[in-house]
Amino acid sequence: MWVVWRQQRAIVLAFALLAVVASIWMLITGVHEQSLWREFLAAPCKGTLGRCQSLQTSIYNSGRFDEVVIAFGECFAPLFALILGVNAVAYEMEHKTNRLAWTQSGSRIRWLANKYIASVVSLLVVLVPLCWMFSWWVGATHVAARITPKVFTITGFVEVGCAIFCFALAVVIGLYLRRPGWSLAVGLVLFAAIFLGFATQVLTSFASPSVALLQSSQESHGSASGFYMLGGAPADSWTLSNGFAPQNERGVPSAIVLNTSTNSMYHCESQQTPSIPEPTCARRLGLRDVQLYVPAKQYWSLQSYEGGFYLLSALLLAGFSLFAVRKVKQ
Amino acid sequence: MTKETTVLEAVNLGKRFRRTWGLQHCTLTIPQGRVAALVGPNGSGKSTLLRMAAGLSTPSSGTLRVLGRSPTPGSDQLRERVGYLDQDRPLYKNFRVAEMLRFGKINNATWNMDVAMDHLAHLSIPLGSRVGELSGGQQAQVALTLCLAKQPELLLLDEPAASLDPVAREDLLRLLMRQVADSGSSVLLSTHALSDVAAICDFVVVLARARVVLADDTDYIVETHRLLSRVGEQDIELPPGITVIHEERNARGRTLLVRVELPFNDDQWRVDRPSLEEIVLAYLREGAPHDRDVSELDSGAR
Repeated sequence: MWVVWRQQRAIVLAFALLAVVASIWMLITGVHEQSLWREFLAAPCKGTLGRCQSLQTSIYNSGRFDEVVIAFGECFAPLFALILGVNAVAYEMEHKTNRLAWTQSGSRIRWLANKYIASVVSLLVVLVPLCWMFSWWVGATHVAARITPKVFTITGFVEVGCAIFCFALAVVIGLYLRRPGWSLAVGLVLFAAIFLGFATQVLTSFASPSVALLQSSQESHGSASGFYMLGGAPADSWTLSNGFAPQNERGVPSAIVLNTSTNSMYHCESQQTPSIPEPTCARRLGLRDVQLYVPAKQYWSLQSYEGGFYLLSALLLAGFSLFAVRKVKQ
Repeated sequence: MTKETTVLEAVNLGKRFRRTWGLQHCTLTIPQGRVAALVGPNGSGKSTLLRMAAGLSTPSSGTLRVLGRSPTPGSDQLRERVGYLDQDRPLYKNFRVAEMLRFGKINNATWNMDVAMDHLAHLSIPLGSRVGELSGGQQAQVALTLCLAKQPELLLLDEPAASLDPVAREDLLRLLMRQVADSGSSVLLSTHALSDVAAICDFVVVLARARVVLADDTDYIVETHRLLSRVGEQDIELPPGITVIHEERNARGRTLLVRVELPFNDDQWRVDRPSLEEIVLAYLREGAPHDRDVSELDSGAR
C-alpha cells in the first residue's frame, strides 16, 4: 500500500491542492452570493424581477464565474481518477516497473488490489469533502436546483461514483494499451460517451415526472434555484419539457400526447396572419399549457441510480481487471 | 542428474509471438549452484527464456520447471525463491534509493536489509539519492541489489552488465560473484560479453535462431572441443566421432573447430585447445552444428 501511495503521492497532492483552492474560491463566492440572495428574496425585493435592479445586477455580476466552477466540478473527479488509473497501470507497464513488482513475492492480483484500495481511499479523501463543498455552494449561489442536470453530478455522491468508475476504466484500458497518453485519451472519450449517454438517455427513464400548469399571469420570481420566468413547476425541481395537453388529460401526459397537442397549437396559431393568440387557440382546442418536471424529492433516488450505476460498473471492471492482470503477457 | 540438483529444466520449450517463434524446441537442464551464461545474438530467445523462467510469461509449447515448480504468474511461492533482473533494469525513478530498499523489504519475506545496505555502502551509492539521478551503472547496481537482498535460490539476470562502462561492469560482476559465493545461489545470466562468460560462468547455454545449440559445463565444453588446422588445400576426411562446428578456409589451409567425443590425435592436423570464447563464437557463427540434431547436444542428453 505504501508503494502505491508513494507512486501516486504527487498526483494526489496536486489534485488535493487544486480541490483546496477551488473550495476556498467556492467558500468566498458562496458566502457573498448567499448574502445577496438572502437580501433579494427578503422584503422589499421578495425575489421579484425588476423590483431591485441594483441587487439583481450584483447577483448577476457575482455569479459570472459560476459556470466555470460547475465545469471545473464536472471535469475534476473524472480527470483525477483517470490520471490516477493511468499512472497505476499504463505508466508502470510503459516503464516496465510492473516486471519489477511482478517478480517480487506478492502476486499480481495483490499488486492490483493494493492499487485499487490505495487509489479509492485517495479519491474518497479528496472528493467527499469537495462534493460536500459543491453541494453547499450550489445551494448558496442559487446557480441551479441540485436535481437539474447542470449540477446534479457535482452534488451528492455521483461524482464519487464517476471517479471510482473512471479509475477502474483507466486500469482496464491501461492493461491493454500500456501507453499512458493513449490510455488517458481513450478513457476520456469512453467516459464522456458513457456519462452523456446515461445522463441524457437513461437517467430520465428512472425519474417519475409530475405535471404543472403554466399561467401566463405569473410573475417572474427569483427562487431557490434562480430565475423562473413563468414558473409552473416548483423552483427546486428539474423541468423536463413544456408543451400542451388536453384539459381532460389526467396524470402525466405522454410524449406522444404532448407532441400531438403542441403541433395542433402550432397549426392553429399559424392559420391566419396575424397569428391567432395562444390563449384563443388553447381554448378552441381544449388544451392547456403544461410543464413536466421531476420533483426535488426524487433527488436522492436519482443519485442512487446514477451513482449506483457507476459503482456497479466500477466493481465489474475491477473484477475483470483482477482476472485479466494474471493473463497479461510480457 | 536428479531433480533436487536442478534449478531449471526445460523440455521442448517454445514461445510463439504471433507468427514467429521467440524460442523453439528448447531442451535444457541447469544444475544447482552454477553460474550459467545464456549467450546468443539478439532475438535468439535469451530474454524470452528468462521471462518465462521468472513467471512473467507462459510457454506456448513444452514444459519448464524452475526449482521443481512450473513458473506461472500465480506461483507465489516460487517468486519468493527466484530473483529476476530485467534487461531494462526497471526501477521507480522518482523513488529514493532507500525507498527502493523499502519496496524490496515490503515485498519480500526473505529480504535481508543488511545485505542491501552493505552492497550500496560498498559501492558508495547514497541512500538519499533519487534513482533517476543516479548514473546507469549505479542504477544497475541498485537493481541488482534488489535482486540479491531478496536472497533468492536462483538469480535470473537479463544482460545485467549491458551498456555499462568497464569499471561499472567490473564492480557489478564482482558484486554478483561475492553474493553467489556467500549465499550459494544459482545464477542464469544472459550476456553478449564472452569475456564475462569466461571470467565468471561455469556453465554455458548458447542460443541461436531461437534454439539451444550448446548447453554444458564450461570445463566439459573446453575439454570436448579442439581447434584443428592444417596447411594445404587437400581435403582430409575426419575420423568418426568428430563433429565439425565451424570451418574456415584461407589461402594457406583449413581451420576447424570440432567437437570430439574421444581423445583425438592425428599427425595430419595441428591440434589446439580453443578458448571458451572461441568455442562459443564458433557456435554463434554457425547457428547449429552440422551433422547432429541440436537437441542431442544439450546437457540432458549427455
